[in-house]
Amino acid sequence: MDDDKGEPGLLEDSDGEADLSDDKSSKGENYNLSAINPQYKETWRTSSFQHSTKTCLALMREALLHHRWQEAAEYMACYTQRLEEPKHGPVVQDKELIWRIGTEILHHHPNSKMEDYNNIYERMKDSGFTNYLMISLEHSFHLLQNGHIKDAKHQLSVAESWRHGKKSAAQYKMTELILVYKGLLDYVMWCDKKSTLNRAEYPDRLDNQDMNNLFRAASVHLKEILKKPGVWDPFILSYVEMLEYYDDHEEVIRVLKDYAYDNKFPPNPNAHVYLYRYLERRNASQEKLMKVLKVLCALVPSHELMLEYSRLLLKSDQITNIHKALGIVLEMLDFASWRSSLDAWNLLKAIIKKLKSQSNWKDSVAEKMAARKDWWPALHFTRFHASKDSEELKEVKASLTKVLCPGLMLQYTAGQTTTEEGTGKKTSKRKRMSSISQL
Amino acid sequence: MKNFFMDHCQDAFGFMGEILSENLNQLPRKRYSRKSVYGVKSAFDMMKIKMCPRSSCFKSLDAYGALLYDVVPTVPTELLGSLLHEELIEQRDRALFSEGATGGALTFVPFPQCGSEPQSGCLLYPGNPGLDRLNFHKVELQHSRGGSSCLDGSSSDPFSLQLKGPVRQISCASLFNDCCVAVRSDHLCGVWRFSEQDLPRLLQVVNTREIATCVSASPHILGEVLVASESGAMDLWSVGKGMQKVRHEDSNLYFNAKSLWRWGEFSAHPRVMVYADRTGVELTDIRESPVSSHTLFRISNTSECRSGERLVLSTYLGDVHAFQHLVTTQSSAYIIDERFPCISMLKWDHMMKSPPMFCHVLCDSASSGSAVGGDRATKVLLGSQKSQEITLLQFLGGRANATSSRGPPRALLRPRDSLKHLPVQIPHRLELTTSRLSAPAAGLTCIQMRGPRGGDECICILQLTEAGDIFCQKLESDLMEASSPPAAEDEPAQTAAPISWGGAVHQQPLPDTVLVVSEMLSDEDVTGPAQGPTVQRSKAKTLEGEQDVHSDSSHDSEPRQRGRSNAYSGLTVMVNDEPELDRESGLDTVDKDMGRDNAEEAGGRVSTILGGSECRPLPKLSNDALVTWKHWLQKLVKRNRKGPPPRRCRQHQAVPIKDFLPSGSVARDPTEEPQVQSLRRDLRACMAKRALLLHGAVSTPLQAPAMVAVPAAVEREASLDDISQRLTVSWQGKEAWIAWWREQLGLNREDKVKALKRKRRREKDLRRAAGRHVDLSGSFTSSASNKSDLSDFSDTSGWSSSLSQTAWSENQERLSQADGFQEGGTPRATTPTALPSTQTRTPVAMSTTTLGDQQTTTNAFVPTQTLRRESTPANQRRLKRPADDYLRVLFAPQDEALQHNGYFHEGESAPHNSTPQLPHQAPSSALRNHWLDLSQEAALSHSPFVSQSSRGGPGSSQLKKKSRMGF
Repeated sequence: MDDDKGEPGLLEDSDGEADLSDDKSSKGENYNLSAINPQYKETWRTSSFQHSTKTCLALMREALLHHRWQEAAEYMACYTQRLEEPKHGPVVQDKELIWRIGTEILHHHPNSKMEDYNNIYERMKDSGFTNYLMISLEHSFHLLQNGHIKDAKHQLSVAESWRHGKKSAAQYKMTELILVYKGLLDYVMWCDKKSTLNRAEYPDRLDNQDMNNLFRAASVHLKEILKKPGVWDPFILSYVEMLEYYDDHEEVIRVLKDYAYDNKFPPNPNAHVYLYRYLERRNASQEKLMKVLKVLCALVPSHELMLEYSRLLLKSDQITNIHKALGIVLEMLDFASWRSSLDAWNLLKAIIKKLKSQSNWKDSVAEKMAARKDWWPALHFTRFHASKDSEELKEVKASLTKVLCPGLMLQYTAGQTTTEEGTGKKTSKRKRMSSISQL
Repeated sequence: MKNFFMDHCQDAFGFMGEILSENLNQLPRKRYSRKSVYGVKSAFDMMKIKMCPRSSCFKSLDAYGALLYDVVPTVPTELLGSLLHEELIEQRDRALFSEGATGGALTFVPFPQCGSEPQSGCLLYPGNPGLDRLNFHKVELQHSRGGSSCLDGSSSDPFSLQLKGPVRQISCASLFNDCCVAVRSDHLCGVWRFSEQDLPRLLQVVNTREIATCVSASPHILGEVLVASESGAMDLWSVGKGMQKVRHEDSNLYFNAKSLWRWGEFSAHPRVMVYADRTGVELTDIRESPVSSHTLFRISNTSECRSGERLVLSTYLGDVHAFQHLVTTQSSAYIIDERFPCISMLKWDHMMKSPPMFCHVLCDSASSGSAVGGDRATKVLLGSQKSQEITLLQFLGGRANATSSRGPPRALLRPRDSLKHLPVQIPHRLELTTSRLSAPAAGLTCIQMRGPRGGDECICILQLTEAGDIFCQKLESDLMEASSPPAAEDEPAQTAAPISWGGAVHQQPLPDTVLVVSEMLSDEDVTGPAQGPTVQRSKAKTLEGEQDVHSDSSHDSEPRQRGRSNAYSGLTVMVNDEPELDRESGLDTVDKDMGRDNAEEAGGRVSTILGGSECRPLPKLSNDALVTWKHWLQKLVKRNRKGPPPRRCRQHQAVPIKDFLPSGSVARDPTEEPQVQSLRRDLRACMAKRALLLHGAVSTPLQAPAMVAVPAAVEREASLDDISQRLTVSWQGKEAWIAWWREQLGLNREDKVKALKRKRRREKDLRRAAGRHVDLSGSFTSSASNKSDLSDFSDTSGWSSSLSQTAWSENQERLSQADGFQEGGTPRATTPTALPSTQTRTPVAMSTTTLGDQQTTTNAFVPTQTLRRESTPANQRRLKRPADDYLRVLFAPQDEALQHNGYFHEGESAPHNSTPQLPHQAPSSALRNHWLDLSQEAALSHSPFVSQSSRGGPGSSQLKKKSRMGF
């Protein structure tokens, strides 16, 4: 891997210049103007240089897209000269380009080493302050991915304390991310501690000072970020886990409810799922569970917890709830993912069985099925379905056809495979002749 | 413009040339020289124009074109210029990106099967050069690891249908073994149904009034199809039952992207549709009667959208994940879960040069065995049109785990790249094949195939180009890589031993005879063994081994998922390009002979080519690939030699023009006669003096129709008086003009108060108008000929201020906006802001005279304007001026309006005459104000004529389309 080693060397040379041109580009212009060289020659030289860098970039792009990493690395070694270009010095985009492409190559190059990574990350960090935070974050990701959690955390700490003038909006956002990931890393280390602790003698699980420190450090950052609107699923999970460990259940409920019900946050079905799961763990009352599930049902009517919801509704034995359960299960069956689910069909069967105790059950079913009358037969009860569904499912479905679609001749009957084609098809047959003439 | 005249001289000058040709032919030869243009003109001025509809002298037409390009256009230059500009813009857009092809016209429908091999299915593709023949071709993918693989279409003939228009998109949905195919061409959408046993049969065809932009077959219910068209509507078409309107949007969803493109897809729920345009995607629930919808994806709202990004394609990934949608833009691809709208699960920069319009998604089941957590990797293939790129993106998760991308995007081989790996050709053939191979792509599909063992998998990617070729390349997953244990601690670099793929030569097990596939497409030669070029070329190119490592692109990759990075199985890429089924339609007559030739020559020449290829180090080609290639090439070359592709210029038909333009109609018009005569005199006098012709006498014959139209219109107009008066006065200078206006204001107020008097005055006007219009035209000629007068009037401040006075006076009671106009410093009030405000005004009954005024303004000014225009190009040395004029014509909409008022006034004047009868004139007044804005702007840009005349166009906003119709 000569190229990769040559690369940092080039970077080393260019770094100072890059900084110079960043800050004092006007000065550079002056040098050029006062130079004895005729200007046209200069422009010719720079333009040809630009031309060749452009070509190099294009070739590198090709190599990258075709995953020819070695070739790309060779181009990259040359391309870093772009940083040295005197006149139109490297702009931020160029540096970012080199950084991104360089790390991408290293990710995939068979001979890349951790030192190379560290090298390029460190050097790119120093090349200018606009991307510093981003590079730090990615650096720590990379370390994290390779299991160097401590190093990763160190990187984040360095980035956290980094200050450079006023923060732009993007930098502010990045700082937030750095903090929250720092919190997450604390949590990871906390988890490691916990697992080692459990194997050890186990005196008092809340007494471990290291863990407590980590928890405190993590919770500071996590708490902060969870106040801001966004999707923080992994973070909230880790925070909740830590809080549960320390039996701070009020806080857990508060955090989860905020996450689920706060209108500033984007409607996140996961938030409701987390809340439900937690309540379930805490053996909360059925009303509470149903309340959570009701909101979830409005968000994602196809969620697997809806089975649970309709079971709960069914258990409550109120007639309105049974109707509601019917609606929920029917809607679930609308969705592609539940169409051949035996559970769902069985549940529907159970609901209808329960409904039959009512006098006007047929009306209520018909009411729910009114909107579906046109397309449910085609969706569920064709002969293709009959031929593909498992025996068990077929039985359940066949028993429900009469209830759900009364008055329709359906081909979906258990055991029967060959029937004539559907009515819709017949009409289309009739139209066929006319439509052919249209074409 | 000049280029247009040169290239399309027949279009531009055909009629006039034809009209003139006989006369010209009789002229002495020397008069054709460039100097004597005016001589020619005067010559045919003197001989009254006679029609000779049958005479055609195309040879000399070119000469006329060059000679007379700015004097005798068939279509007036201003109009032509604007139309040409529109057309050019449209063509440029189309060349860059033709959205019609979105979705792709190539589909493979796999048949359900018990065994794993060979994978068979039906390939649907359009044939013929116009892509207007739909083919259903049963093919088999034969593949065995480490060697042969081919797409065998020889087992059966394709079932093909001739359609009326080019196939733009094929959408397919299959339920078990029955398959429903929706095909979209520009104005027709058809649905076919077929299965493995049954031949395709047409179920229904619908005709869309606007161009259809999308057709999408429902994956839930067989026989339901979504059709979206440029009208902004999306319809749910239940085949055999009829259409149901799902959604109609006149404008774009989130901001004005100026795009008519609409797209529709199904979603996880059969009654919730995806409605997309360039600005975003919405989920539309049609279960409720006022259709409810919520945002799924929105440009500029979804994270890290760049400005200028536009949605290109939205695909429902139903086969892979019930709730996921893929949305692509020019620069990125997003995976979006419809349960969690507006937030992208995953985002790639796909790094393609042109926007991805085709997409195929498949679920990678083979590598799932080794993947940690049993998550399946999904492969997304994106194809772009112009640059033929195919990019492979892979991602994991979406169910139990978070979605994460796997590896960077990988570009696959493009057809135009494949030439490098083929034997060297002689230059002209090379050129031929290059141009053929680099035709824009028109479709993309993929055949997935599982080997006998679970991990042995290959995907065969088919790409259709607009030339009708289908190229095929194959990706194989790497077994060694896949089976390597996912040792979590190891660095990826260590497991990634470079793997050599030297042996990966693909052979095609077909004997030559099999290649001779009779193709029913070649229409007439059904009897003979008409060998369609249904030959297969497989070109194996081995790329160096690769190791893809799961990159850390996903921010929430938790440490315990680390191990997955190693579980990724690299893909070995072996590329087979086969322009299988190259159905060139130019072939029909040649096919039979060629078939024999190919069969005979095949044996002889393969060896030589092979010898060549063996010398080449890297791209190793198999025999069969080369054979296929050779056949294809031969066909191509032969076809080309036989007849060079017909030149683009259309066959021009000589249409008898007698009926359109009755001979002598111009001359016979009694009112015109003295004018024409005087103009001729002028012309002759000018020529005698060798002076520059400054006014429009040059184009008098051309203008004859217009001149006829204008006086007629004026005569019919009752209220000529005011405006003509004003104009006449305006020639005398600003003071006189303003004085006139003061007078007029008083009248106006009086008018409003006493509506009764108006009628009487109109009658008076009528009487006065009868005698007026001759004076009017006289004033035009005199003043237009005097350029210095014009320059006096280009004192813009006076014009704009007086204009604002106009506005003010007309809208006295409604002061809301007039103040802004009066300022004169804010003439840039843009139309969108101006329009609503004017519309909110209380529509006071406008005096009929005001409207009439505007009408006549337009009419009266047409001659002036054209005169000036014509006089400018006549001055040949000042070439820049006409160009400027054209530019102004192109970019100032009021000019266009002016033209169409001028030229199509006949048709429009009638409705406007009737409008004053209505009590409320809100729309027209709003429009007028709108035009006032524009005119004010124009006034600042030193074109008083334009501004003045255009301000009176209440009907001019009945938009450009009209003028096009007229054209």
